[in-house]
Amino acid sequence: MIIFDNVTKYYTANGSRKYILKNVSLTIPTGRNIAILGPNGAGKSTTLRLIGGAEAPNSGTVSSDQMISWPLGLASGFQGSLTARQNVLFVCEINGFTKEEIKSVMAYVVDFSELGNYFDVAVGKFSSGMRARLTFALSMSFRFDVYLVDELTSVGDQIFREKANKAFTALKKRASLMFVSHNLKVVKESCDSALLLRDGAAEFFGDMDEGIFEYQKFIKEKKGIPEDDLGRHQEETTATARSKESPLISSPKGKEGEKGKERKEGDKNGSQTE
Amino acid sequence: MAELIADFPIPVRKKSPWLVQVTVVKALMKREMVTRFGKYKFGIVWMIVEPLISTIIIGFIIGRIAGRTVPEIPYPFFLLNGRILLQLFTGSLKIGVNSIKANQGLLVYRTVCPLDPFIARFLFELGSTSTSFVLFCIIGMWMGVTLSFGAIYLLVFCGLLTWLMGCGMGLIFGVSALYYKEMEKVALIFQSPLIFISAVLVPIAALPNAAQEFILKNPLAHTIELSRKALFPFYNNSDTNIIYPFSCAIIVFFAGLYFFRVNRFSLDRD
Repeated sequence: MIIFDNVTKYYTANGSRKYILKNVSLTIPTGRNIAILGPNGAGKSTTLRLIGGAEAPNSGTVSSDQMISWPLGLASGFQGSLTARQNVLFVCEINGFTKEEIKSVMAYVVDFSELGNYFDVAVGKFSSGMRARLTFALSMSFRFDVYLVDELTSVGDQIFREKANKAFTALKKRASLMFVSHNLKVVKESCDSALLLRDGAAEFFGDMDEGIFEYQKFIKEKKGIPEDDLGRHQEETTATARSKESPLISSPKGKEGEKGKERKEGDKNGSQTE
Repeated sequence: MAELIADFPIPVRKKSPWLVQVTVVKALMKREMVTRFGKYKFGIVWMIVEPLISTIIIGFIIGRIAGRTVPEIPYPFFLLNGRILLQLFTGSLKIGVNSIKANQGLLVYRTVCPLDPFIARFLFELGSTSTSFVLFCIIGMWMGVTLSFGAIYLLVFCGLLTWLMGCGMGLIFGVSALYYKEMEKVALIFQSPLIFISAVLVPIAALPNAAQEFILKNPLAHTIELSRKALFPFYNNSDTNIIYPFSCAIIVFFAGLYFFRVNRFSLDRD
């Protein structure tokens, strides 16, 4: 459970306050995959950072009884002048791992990230896809109850995305996800609940479809959002609805019944690409 | 192919806040060490060689004349002493100004608090500068300089006060640079004349009266002169006292901390 208790978060821009969350009290259940929805600048990433403890609210508290990951995004906390190995070592150290634990984490990350020789190259020279692979591999070696994913899987090639999706599916047994992505298709495939942010308020929807419906209604009402942007969102959702049967890239489905079948398909795809 | 999720996943243990902070600061200091010296061959050697060379150059240029004003101390050692004490101040100041930007990314990790990178870098500065000071003392003694360690506590105290002032100023400049980028430049301008008005090159006693009065307003001049007095009991430290720099250090340091605390919400934005 993640509890927002009267949380207010704002940024000051040109002397005026822009509220991301205004007196929000909310209880978000964990144990399910949650998508954070909202238009650009609504504060999706900020909300994720608040939950991950990377930022503090201006007033109120965000608390949880779960172990929550740091926000897994592209602006991850890697020092560009250090190598991937040194960065991984640092993250292990600030979490107080023992020497043996660090050793096994290192072996796992080397293996999973598939960076090869680049593992001993400064992270500053990495492409965004390589960074994403490193962030992802590192986070997978930690036992978190909730993983916060901020547009991480939107970069990287097909192989990485498939791998990430498969890992998320496997992860479902022991952890849940909170997901920020502008790609409604991806969100709809991997999440079963939604957290909608609009005008400083946050609302939780247990049902994904209802969340998306409200989100689109909100966008329609809101002026100033370009027409084509809106159109793309709708297109994507309808496309997903239509292509339910087609074996796209492997992806965790929210519905329990299709889960097993999906995973089998995913495994097959995975072995084909190997 | 690698396993999808690690089968050994290490549970992230919850620990007492104090223990977490100590672990984080340690890791940050280690990282600082790697970033600062790791890119050079013989990295750590540069920590000593750099101030030594510049001291030799300055000492060679003005030492013959300025050296006459300090008969009690061999001039190179006089200069080195002043420079290293000043380094404690300017080093911490510089670090404070850059620290927020350089470490913002780290705040994504839950265990890292906004002040931790400062603490780590300030401690690192203190550690590396004191190490080089100790090494210089050893080199000096080996070359025949007589040092007295009777008042070593005074030396340590002076060093700490200078360092605290640097930390305070670093915090103040660092936080204000978030709002006004110019403050980075101001900090540079602020520290450039310090070498002339902190009794680094020439002892206060050798200055004209009017200049003495002016220079005694600078708390750094007090700590630098007193640190020499600690190592050389016969040194003429003029009218310097420890109370003045002590109160300055306390005020500046806590002002810095307060300033940091008040503005903490502006710190964690990328």
